[in-house]
Amino acid sequence: MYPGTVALQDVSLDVRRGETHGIIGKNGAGKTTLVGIVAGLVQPTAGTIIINGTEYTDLSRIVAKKERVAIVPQEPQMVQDCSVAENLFMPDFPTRGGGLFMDRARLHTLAEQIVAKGRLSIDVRAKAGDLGIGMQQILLMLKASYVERAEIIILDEAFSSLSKNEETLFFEIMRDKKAEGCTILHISHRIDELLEVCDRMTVLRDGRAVATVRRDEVDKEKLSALIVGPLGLAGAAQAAPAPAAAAAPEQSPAANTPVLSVRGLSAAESYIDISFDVHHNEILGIAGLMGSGRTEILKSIYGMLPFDSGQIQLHGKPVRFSGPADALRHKVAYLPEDRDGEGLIASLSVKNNLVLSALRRICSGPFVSSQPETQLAHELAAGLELKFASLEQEVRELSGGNRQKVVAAKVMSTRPDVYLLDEPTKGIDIAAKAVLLRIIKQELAPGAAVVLTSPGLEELMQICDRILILHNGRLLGSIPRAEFREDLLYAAIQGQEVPLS
Amino acid sequence: MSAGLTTTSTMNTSTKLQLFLIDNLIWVLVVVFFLLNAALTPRFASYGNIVNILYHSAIMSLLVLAQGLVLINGRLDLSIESTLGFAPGIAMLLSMRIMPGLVGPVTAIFVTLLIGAALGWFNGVCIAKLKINPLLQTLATMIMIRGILLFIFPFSLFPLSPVYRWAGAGRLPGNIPVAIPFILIVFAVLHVVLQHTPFGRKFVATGGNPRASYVSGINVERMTIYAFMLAGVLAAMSGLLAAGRQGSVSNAMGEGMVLLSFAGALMGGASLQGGTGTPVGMLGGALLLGMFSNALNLLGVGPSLIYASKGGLIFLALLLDRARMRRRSYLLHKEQVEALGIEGISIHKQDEKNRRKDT
Repeated sequence: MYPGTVALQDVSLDVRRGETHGIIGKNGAGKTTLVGIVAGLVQPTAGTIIINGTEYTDLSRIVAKKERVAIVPQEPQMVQDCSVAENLFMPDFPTRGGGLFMDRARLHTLAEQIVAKGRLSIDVRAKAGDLGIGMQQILLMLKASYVERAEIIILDEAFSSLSKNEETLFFEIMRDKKAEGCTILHISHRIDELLEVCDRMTVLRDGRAVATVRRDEVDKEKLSALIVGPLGLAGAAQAAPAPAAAAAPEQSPAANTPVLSVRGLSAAESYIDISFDVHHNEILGIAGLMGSGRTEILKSIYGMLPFDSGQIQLHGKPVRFSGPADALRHKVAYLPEDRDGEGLIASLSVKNNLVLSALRRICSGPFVSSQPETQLAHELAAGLELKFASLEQEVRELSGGNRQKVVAAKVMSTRPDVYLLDEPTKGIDIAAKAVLLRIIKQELAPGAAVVLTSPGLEELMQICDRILILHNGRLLGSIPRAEFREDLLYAAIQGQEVPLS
Repeated sequence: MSAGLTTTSTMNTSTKLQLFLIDNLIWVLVVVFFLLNAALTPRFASYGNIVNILYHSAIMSLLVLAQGLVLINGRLDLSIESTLGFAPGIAMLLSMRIMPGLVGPVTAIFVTLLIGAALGWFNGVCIAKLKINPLLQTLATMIMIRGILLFIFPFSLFPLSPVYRWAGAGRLPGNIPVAIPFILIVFAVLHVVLQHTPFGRKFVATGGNPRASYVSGINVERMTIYAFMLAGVLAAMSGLLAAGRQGSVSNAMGEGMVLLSFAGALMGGASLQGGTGTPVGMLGGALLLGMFSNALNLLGVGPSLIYASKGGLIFLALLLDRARMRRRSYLLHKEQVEALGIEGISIHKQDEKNRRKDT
């Protein structure tokens, strides 16, 4: 999936007929890759898959479908302009006239039967796009269950977009299918959910299957411990590289006015009552699951998203940025999570991307002068150990890690007082990750206040001075560096009660 | 300089030359086409004919530049061909019929450009602020102003004042039409602005990825409005040249020219995705179109067939552009593989294949 990285290594897993089997692990543990292989979406480099005694070295989606393997993806994929009934039966519509015409009457009758099986009361003639994401997810589950009549159903974090009611409906369909003897592979990073629905679960860590356990063998604590591993339990002192830990006391944040402080920030449906301070020379981590509101908070501060109430103060003065240009003028910079969508201009050269936010600095008169421009680009590139063939090559030619470094360099070139870094290590290989983290710690933090989010806790634990726990848009606590423990943090971002200071 | 970091200077000369030719492919085509015709087509390479080609390409080239700038911004503008007629039409109507005392020929030139800017502003605001689809917005403007033009101009207006005609019909010493240096200056200025000013950089970046440009602190709405205003002004200039050349203004001026403006701009390196293309490239595109019809004309091909051949030329140019992008990406990738010391040519051959599938 990500070039240059090994997503899965020597994983063996057996799933019994009729069981609901959970797969859990941290971000990047290899969950999605594993089920991708089973569903025929990803080709493995080595190993075999055996379904009902038939052995496959790789599975195409078509073969997987023939073996009655269905997948319900994380993001529901429905054709928004087609009706519920059409979506349910696509692409094998009931036909008449020897397969020439779609049999609409029968399509609607069949669809109504299926919707009834899911205990839903929706009009099958309605457009799929008019339904909520959660409802679309349920319909996909019904499609897998009763249209494709799958015997193995893979749920890839299918619950992440469901409301409480929808979750109940979804569980009931799962229970029905289980009673029919259907096998379900359920991927999630939520411990509660797994313990509620699964018979057995396999824990993945760093691309390896570390344990397969029965539900009655484990509780929440034991499962968290398995997920984060022995290193995570050992606490911050070992998890963090020695120099950073040693440097921590002398670099402790100044006790004066915070550079950025956020008071009671709320935005409907994203986050509620968020308050925190960041000081000069401090790295503040925000830990939370996907959808917990991390990105939205940073974007609201940066002026990209509106907020409903609350206040943002910069150096003690209230501010509200009208947009990115305004925020940058006030020396607040944001590194977007969506690297290719919001970070880079693919059609431009590496050089033009690097200097885009610092054009004013390299001008003489009304013109961009080329010598300072090349010099600045080289400085930025060297500072991040960027590897490229030529400054003139287009940025889309670079690898993911190097593209990320270009975005980071562009953000650094503005020399801000506040860095809002939204998942700067997303989707890049280990070497590039290490370089970026070191640069954040050694280059950025000494001159500014840094707010950092990350899908992985280890990264936050490595370089943050404090970590805020975010769950469902609320801040549950703030943990100082001395008290970092990966297992507790992991439980905390799941919304579990843990002894937090 | 740190390890693993290489610059253009370390590339070997053959790669550099290839990249240079690839990046300026349109001018390579212009030169090749010129030499070919100079050898084969009678009278093609004479001084008179070269001036003739440039003169006849002038009007279209400004329209190509107008379209090209909007394409760089990632949009398109159908209305420029109507602006070409509308702007000089209204200016001359004011100058010759409605308020001749107030609007002299020099003022009329400014009024012409101002009308172009105003129409562009209207398009730009509707597209950037109201988020109307550019195709539909400019289609509406195109029909609207052509309709108005037909309504108020059931006739042609002539003779125009020599001052107003100077840019389009005037001659400099050596019998060089004023229009030729005129467009060369316009192209040069816009080339410098786009390549070497912060405004130009932001303008091109906006077209490449508006979302990322916005996050980088660029006012993308303003950039879009400027793009359409520039297009409007250039279309009006084009109209000024056209009116000057024919010595009159009429309601059919510019009709059907917008499609060829796309052709010239796309051949000159612009793409419908935005973010690419340079004014110098577009001048090449416009000249190639002009030379092509001139050559066919000299060979005695009729206008209908010339029009059809232009379509074929555009298609060929598009095919060439795909090949160009592949070759470019291959060269840079090879360079990178060598620079980083990654093993095996076989890897990037494989990669190259995948890349082809992607694009």
